[in-house]
Amino acid sequence: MRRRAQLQTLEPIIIVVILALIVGVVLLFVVRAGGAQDKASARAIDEREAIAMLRKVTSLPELSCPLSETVRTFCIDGAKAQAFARLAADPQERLAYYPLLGSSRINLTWADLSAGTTRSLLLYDGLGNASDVSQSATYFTVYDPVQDARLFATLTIERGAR
Amino acid sequence: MRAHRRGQTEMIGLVFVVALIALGIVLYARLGTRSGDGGAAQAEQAQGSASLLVSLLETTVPSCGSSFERVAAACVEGRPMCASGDPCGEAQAVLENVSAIALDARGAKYNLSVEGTGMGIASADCASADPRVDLVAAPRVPLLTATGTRYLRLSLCS
Repeated sequence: MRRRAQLQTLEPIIIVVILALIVGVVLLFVVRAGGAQDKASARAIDEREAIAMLRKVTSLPELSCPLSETVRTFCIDGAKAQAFARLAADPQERLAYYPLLGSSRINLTWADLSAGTTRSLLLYDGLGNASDVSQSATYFTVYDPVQDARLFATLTIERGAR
Repeated sequence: MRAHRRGQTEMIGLVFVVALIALGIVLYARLGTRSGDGGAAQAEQAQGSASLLVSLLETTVPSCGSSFERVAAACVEGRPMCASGDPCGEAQAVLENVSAIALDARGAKYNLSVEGTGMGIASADCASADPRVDLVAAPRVPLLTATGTRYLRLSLCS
C-alpha cells in the first residue's frame, strides 16, 4: 500500500522531469540550427559584399580598363592598379577613398600564365585596428596593357565591423 | 497486484512515447538543419564558382593571344590554333593553372571540365556514387562553338 502511494506520488514528478528533458533537447537543437543558419547567412552576405566591392573598385577611373575591355565583365587595369596602390599607401590620399571603400583591406592577386607566376598587390588598406574582420574573395580578370591580355585574378576583401 | 501491473504498464508506455517523440525531434533537427544550411551554402558556392568560370573564359591563353573561350571552342571544333597548333593542350594547361590558383590553394574538392570533351581536371570524383561524397555546387557556363553549345562546368563536392 505504501509503495503504491509512493509510486503514485512520484509519477507526476517523473513526468515533469521527462518533459523538461524533452524541452531542453528541443531548445538545444533549435539553438544549434539557428546558429548554423546565421553562419550561412553571414557567408552569403560576405559573398554579395565582395561582388559589390568589386563593382565599386572597377568603376573607379583610377583602376578601370580601357573602354574596349569593359564591354565584358569586371576588369581592372593592371598598370593603373600598381599606380593606385602607391597612391593609396599614403594615409592622406587614402582618406579620400574611405567614404567609398570604408574599413576594408583589398588585395589583388593575378596570375601571369606566360611567366608561370602570381603577383599580389595591396590596393587599399583602410582596416586599421578593426575588430571582427570577415574575409571574402571573388574572381575576375586584370587587363595587362603591355601584353594586351586578360589575366585571371582574385580580389580578396577583408572587412572590419562597422 | 493488478493495479501495480497497470502502473508498470503505464510507465512503460510513457517511456515508449517519450522515446518516439525524442527520435522524431532528432530526425527533424538533423534533416531540417541540413537542408536549411546546405541550401544557403550551395548558393554561396555557386555564386563564387560561377564568377570563377566566367573569369576563366575571359582569361587570355598565353601562346594563343586569344581568350580561353575561343581556344576551347577551337579545340571542340578541331581547328588548329595557337603557336603550337594544339588548342586543346593550351586550354588544358590554362585549366590546370587556374584550378591550382583558385581551387587547390583553398583545398577544394572539385571537377573542372568542358563537358563532352577530354579537357578537364579533377581533385575528386564529385560524380561518385559513394554516399560520403556530397555534391555542394555545380554551376556551368555555356561555351559557344560552331558544332553547338558545350558547357564549362565546375563541380564542387565535400
